[in-house]
Amino acid sequence: MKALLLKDIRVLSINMKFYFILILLYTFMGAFVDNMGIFQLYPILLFSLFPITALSYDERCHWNQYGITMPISRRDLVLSKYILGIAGALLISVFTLAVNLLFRYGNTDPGTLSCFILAVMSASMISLDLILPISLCFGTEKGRLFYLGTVILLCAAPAILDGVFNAGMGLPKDIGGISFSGLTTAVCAFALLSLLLTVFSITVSIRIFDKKELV
Amino acid sequence: MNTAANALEIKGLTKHYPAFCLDHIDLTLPMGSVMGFIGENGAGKSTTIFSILGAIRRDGGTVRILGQDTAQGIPLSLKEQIGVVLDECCLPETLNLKDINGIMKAAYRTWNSKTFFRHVHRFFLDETKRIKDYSRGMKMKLSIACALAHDSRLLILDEATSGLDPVTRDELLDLFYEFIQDEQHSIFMSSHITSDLEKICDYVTYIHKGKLILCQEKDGLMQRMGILKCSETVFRDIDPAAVHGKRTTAFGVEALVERQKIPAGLVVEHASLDDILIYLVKSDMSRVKS
Repeated sequence: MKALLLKDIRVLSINMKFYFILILLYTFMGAFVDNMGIFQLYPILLFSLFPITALSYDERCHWNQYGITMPISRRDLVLSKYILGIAGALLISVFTLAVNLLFRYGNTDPGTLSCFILAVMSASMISLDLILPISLCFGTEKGRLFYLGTVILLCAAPAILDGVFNAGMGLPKDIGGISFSGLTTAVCAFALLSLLLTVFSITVSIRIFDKKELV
Repeated sequence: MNTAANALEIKGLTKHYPAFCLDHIDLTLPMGSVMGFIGENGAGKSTTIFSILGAIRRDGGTVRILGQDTAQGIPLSLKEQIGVVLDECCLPETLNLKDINGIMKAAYRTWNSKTFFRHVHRFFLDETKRIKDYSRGMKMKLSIACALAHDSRLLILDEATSGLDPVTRDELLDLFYEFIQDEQHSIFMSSHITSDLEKICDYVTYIHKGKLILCQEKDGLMQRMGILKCSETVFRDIDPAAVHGKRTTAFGVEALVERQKIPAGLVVEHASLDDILIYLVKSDMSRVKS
């Protein structure tokens, strides 16, 4: 597992430098621009695509064919991609939260901001949960097409969350009839749903990959 | 350490595809030996190798590697003892040798960085370059360096020397010779280049359209077989059981024959592995199979 994560991180850090710069740029822009929902949404969603990118690099060099001959199980080959996605989403979420709290200190409500970031992180995990099994089964090209479809669905989320976040700037306790505690509950339920979906997605991916012929 | 008598034992290996079938392959590679695995393109060599390695699910048969059954997949501890070189370098192309060493060190408990870099220096692989900047020969050398830098006792090579120049192939064969000096080491290698196999192999296995045609000790086979060149008239008197293939030319008949069954006085020339395989595949092959 360590070897797989090392490989993916190294490959991504070499090939995705531009994206890392873009993510940093968006995160910092989000800290200085008032209407910042999209700037916080984008880096987290972009990060969720990294395991798919890592998988497409694997496909290009037929890594899985070789990896299966090493002391690595099929299960680990699948799990490493989820761990990469979860760790990446967590890392960028914490980073986004820290940057915003640092630069918008006193100008934002940490609770609402945390809710927003948790919701975006959950949404990005859901998209990964849907794309990974499809990419493992049909290849990353088809996985990316499917991703476009899920992004359209997820477009509904930022519209709502952006409104919630902007409202949070003024620290309202009631947004369009939704109380803050109600919002927290809704976001926590969404996060729990994403967690359950991740467990289900991992199970399905392992089964798919277990039957896959690596030639 | 496992002290199995055979490095590789395959019995009844079967794999069905809509347009191809690997049909009950049986072969045994004794410990300390080299087996050449030959067949034309699409004959089933890679399918056999990927079935052995568990990359594809077999429909039937058993595979024992270094004495261990692999019906439930190859145990991770056993994978430490198998070095694999596929027909292309499957390492991420943007990485360099330092990255590869780090990844392999994390993957193999028995990985030896010193051994890896010793092979790297022996092959003159540039440590500063990325893999994508290597030639095909250099990539294959890197794959071989990886296969030899852990506790490998069985090397499985899939077309590892194809597409390489004769000098590079010779260097690699030298390395395989060194590897095989340890009687607990074995090599199973598929190749189109029969001249390489003639130099290094103890056993040859030939498959054709998914069926096993021949699996024999190489020296015995080459001593037993020869090329008889004679006229049609002389050829008519030859025992048909001695003939394993023939072709008629403007000058008479050229036939692959068993030397011992040919009457004294007739000249039987040396048959190369290429000659034997070509004649066999073009004729009734069942007689030599035994």
